[in-house]
Amino acid sequence: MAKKKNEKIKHRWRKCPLGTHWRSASNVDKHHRKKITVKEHYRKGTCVKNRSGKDSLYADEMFLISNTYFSKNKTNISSNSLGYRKGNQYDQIIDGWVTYWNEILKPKVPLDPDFVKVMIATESSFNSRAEAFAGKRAGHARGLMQVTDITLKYLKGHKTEARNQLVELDEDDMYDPVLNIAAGVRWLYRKKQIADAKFEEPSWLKSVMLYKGYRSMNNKNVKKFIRLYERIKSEKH
Amino acid sequence: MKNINIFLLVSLLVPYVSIAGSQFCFEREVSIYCEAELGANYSLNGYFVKNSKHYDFAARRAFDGGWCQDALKSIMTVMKSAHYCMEFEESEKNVDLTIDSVVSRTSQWTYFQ
Repeated sequence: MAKKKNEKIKHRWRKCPLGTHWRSASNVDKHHRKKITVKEHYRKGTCVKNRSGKDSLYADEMFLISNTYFSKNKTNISSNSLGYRKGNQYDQIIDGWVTYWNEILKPKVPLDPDFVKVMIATESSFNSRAEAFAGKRAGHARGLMQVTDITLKYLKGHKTEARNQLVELDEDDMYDPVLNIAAGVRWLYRKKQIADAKFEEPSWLKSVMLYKGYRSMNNKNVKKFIRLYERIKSEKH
Repeated sequence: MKNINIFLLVSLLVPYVSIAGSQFCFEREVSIYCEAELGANYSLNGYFVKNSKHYDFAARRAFDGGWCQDALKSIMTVMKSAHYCMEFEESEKNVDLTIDSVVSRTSQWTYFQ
């Protein structure tokens, strides 16, 4: 189908014009709408308007992008598993989303997919079902990148933490590696934006520090992150 | 031939050493505390000496003060037992450890639920 003149596609992998998102084909059960009974029917996949009116990613389109492009994407990620049983299981997803967000948000220094791999190692040990209680305000931290419930709200535009390039996902979505990594990398980018404003010499490492909630680069866990990152970069597998 | 087999076995095992996990058991409480971090966040940290070796440990992430105080309270309850064990992600070769759980016969605390 030819694209209409005014329809701008934001990214080469996105299916729908700005302000809309992809809703996959599905079987719709019989239901009532405005006092009319709608019979069970098949609904084609289509682009629908975003609630926010902003550029937002929804689960259906994330799966579509992942299934269509991630296996074809030439990966730049290290094959070093860091000793974890599932250490290389998510490489294509990590590399795919890092490629996507790097192209969308265009940082001066692009995010390295190995950075995200180490992030997952330190956050969840590559356990996609990992769940930790993160306090009354933050709720629970879930999945590979331990995305918290409050972070999910921020990624939807709550309190204008993220002003655009929103991610519309729910708590249960965080146990799916494709959705979790999409959200986690987007949140790491938000932390990079904060690091850029906060520090004279911002870096991706400082955004990791902010993601993990630490105030100093001398923190034990930040140092552990650096050690693992150096290891992944020094060893060829 | 035997040497080659040993070399191959060691080569295969080496990458897994760092996350082999470790467990240390105690009869007394060890030092554990919450430390103020960015914003209203607190990190959970501690240390102990075992076999003349000093170990530091921390939870994976800093969360709000309520989380840290609750974790501390739960861990202190477990540590009051006559015998309890702490589990860490890394092997005992490491001196900087990530705490996963504290378990006694009657109570426990785990980072992941």
